[in-house]
This record gives sequence, structure tokens and C-alpha cells, in this order.
Amino acid sequence: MSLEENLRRTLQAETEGWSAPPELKGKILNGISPGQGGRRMKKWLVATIIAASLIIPTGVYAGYNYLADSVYGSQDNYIQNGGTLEQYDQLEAKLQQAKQSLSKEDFQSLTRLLHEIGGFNLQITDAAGVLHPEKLSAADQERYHKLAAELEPYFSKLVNTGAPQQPLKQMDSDTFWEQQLAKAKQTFSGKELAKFQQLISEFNLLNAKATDPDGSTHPERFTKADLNNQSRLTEELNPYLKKLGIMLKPIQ
Amino acid sequence: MEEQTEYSQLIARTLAGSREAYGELYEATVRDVYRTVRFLVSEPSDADDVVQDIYLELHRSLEQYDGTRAFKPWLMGLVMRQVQAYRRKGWRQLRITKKAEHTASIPDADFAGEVIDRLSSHMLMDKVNSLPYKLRQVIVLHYLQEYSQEEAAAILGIPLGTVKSRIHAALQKLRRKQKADTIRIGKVEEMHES
Repeated sequence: MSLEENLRRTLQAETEGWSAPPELKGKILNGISPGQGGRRMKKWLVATIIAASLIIPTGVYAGYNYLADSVYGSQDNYIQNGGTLEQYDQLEAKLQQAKQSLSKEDFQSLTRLLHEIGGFNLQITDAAGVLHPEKLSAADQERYHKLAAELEPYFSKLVNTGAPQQPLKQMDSDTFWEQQLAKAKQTFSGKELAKFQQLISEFNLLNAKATDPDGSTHPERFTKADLNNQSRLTEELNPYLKKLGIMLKPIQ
Repeated sequence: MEEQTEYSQLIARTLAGSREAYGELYEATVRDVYRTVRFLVSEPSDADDVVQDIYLELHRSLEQYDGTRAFKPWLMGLVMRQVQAYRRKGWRQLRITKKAEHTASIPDADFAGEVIDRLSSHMLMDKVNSLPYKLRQVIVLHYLQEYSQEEAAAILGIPLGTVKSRIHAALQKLRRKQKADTIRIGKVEEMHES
């Protein structure tokens, strides 16, 4: 037997009976703070739902830019999978803030990363909105952790800037729709534009019913027929609005 | 690698806040960690403290673990650094391990072959224990944990050449001592036969 082989066997044999005392495990588990581990995953969510004022015009229906959609695919996706509407709005707001504070390249990189991690998050979230990365395959988990690591510097940038640089204005309905109309003129064909304008006027007329001059909204004034109309109009409008980069959602 | 997948899952669950998952990670790794530590620090009660520190530190460092590297060797690197930190602190007085002159008890003289084996095993172990620390580091990684020389180099953060020369030096020392003892055993046999 060579010395090396002898050495191997000897070491195995002599250390065979060595084992950690059973109470050591308990000591260790009591000594760790599990919250420390969770912090990393929570950081991602917290960073994305830090409150900021929203770009949502007043009015019964508010339009908003669907930046957040580009992360989760759609609001529906997000909500069905455990996010709340409020969180979605906050994510949206945070993204708007990011758009303002980051350079163009940075923002593009950020949304690209967010889009990818958003895809993973949809896979691994439970009904309560808790993320379970262990559900991913080993390769995916590696990718996931890498993404989270890549995102961290952006989040600390955003957290540090605190309140948005420029206060996000709350536009009034008219201004908002004016803007959209201007965009529409550039985006839509003649026929599309005509249809769009018609839907918009119908829509605004309807909403005017439930809005006071001071801007306060009273959705309770809507009759059942009104609500049906509203749904119909919303449905018809959304494809156009999507082309413009906004979506309609009711104010809570 | 199935083992690596298992580790990845336990790590992910631990990072998500599961204490149970960390307990499982402990169970899956403690045997090798404990044996390595105990071999290097030689005082059993110190080994317990060092192992405890290792797993507390591990939990703190899991966030930095890069999933692309194999977990076990990465853990071993952490183990080796913790042991070195313990030695630097000089918690307890380092006991000088017993020299090769220590005679192991011979249980049954009838099974001469087995006895010689057991005796030589103890003797070899004693000799290994008396090697300088840096040589014992490479010994435990390469011959007990059976890492390749390259892996050992990565774990210890030293060049491959250094690992090779330390192993070579260790084996030389062990050979020299072994030869001397063999001659001694031979003489004892001769004495009794006459």
C-alpha cells in the first residue's frame, strides 16, 4: 500500500467517530436571525413599492402610463398573482420616478432587468405575494440571483434620491386628454383617429355626469346603464389607448 | 450535479427566511465541516465553538454566495478562514500534540497482523498530527476530504505549486518517520523471537 493510500484510509478511520454534538445545531439555529436572509428578497419588493406621487389625472377614470406593465406583462397578471392594485400603482410611480432621475441608458437597462425578473417573479409568487425562488430550476435560480444583484445599484440610486426630483404633477382630465389627442394625431390613421375622438367624447361626456366642477368625483351617480356604457367604452378605447401607451383604470 | 441542486434549493429557501432550510443545510454539511475543524484545532471543545462560529458566519455570507461556484468548496474556504482566525486569536493555548513515541494500547496480541495495522494507523495519525499546521491544511483537504490539488489551492487561496510542495513535504516527513518506526518494530519482534 502506498503511503498516500495508507494516509487516506488512516484519516478516514481515525475520524470516523467524530461528529458534532447534537446540541450544536440548536445553538446555531437559535443564533441566526432568519429575517436577515429574508431581507434580500424583501428588498426587491420594498424597493419597487416605495411611494411616490402618482401621475394620474383626476377624473372618474384615470389614464396612466403602463410602464409597470412592461415589468409584469399586465396589471391583471400582477394582481392575480398576489400584488395589490396599490402596489402596482406604487411600482408604476417608482418607475416614473426612475425615468426622470436616471439617464436614458440606465433607465433602459433597468426596465430590461425588471422585465426579466418580473417574469421570474410571476412564476415564483404565491397567493400572498411572497416570493419563492426555490421553485425555480437551479439554472434559473442562478439567473434570478444575478438579476437581483444587478438591480441593487439601481435601487440604491433611487432610494437615495428620496422624493422625486421634480414633483410629479397631477394633471387635470382635460389637459391629459389633450395630450393624448395630440399623440393620437401622430399615431393613428385617419379612420382610427376619427373613431378614437368619437369614443373619447362619449367617454368624457359620461364621466362629466359624475364629476363636480371642483373636480370631485361621484361614481355613485352612475346608473346601471351608465356603468354598462362605461365598460363598453373602456373596452373599445383600450386598444387605442394601448397604442398610445396608456391604460384606463378606475380610481379606487 | 444533484448535490449542487440540493444545496441551491436549501440556500434559496434560507435566503427567503426559512430557518428549517438552514437546519437542513447544516445537516448536509456538518459532518465534513466538523471533521475538518476538529482535525485542525485538535481540542474537541474548541472545535465545537469554531464550528458554531462557522455556521453563524455562513448564514451571514450566504447572500454573497455566487451560485455559479460549487457550494462545498466555497464552504470549505470559509471553514479554513475561520480556523485561521481562531488560531490568530489564540483562544486557548494550543496543545502540543503528542509525539510519535506515544504507544497505542495493544488489545489482543493474537491477531498480530491486525494489531500492527491498528498500531501503525494510530502511529501514522500521531505523526500527521505532529506536522506543521500548513501541511496539515493540505493533508486534510487532499486526503480526508479528497479534494484535488487544484481544488485545495482554490479553497486555501494559494497557488497550486504551493499546494504541491506542501503535500510533497508532508509525505516526505511522514515517510521518514515511518521508516524509523518500522525499524523499531522489527527490532522488537526480533527481541521477542529470540
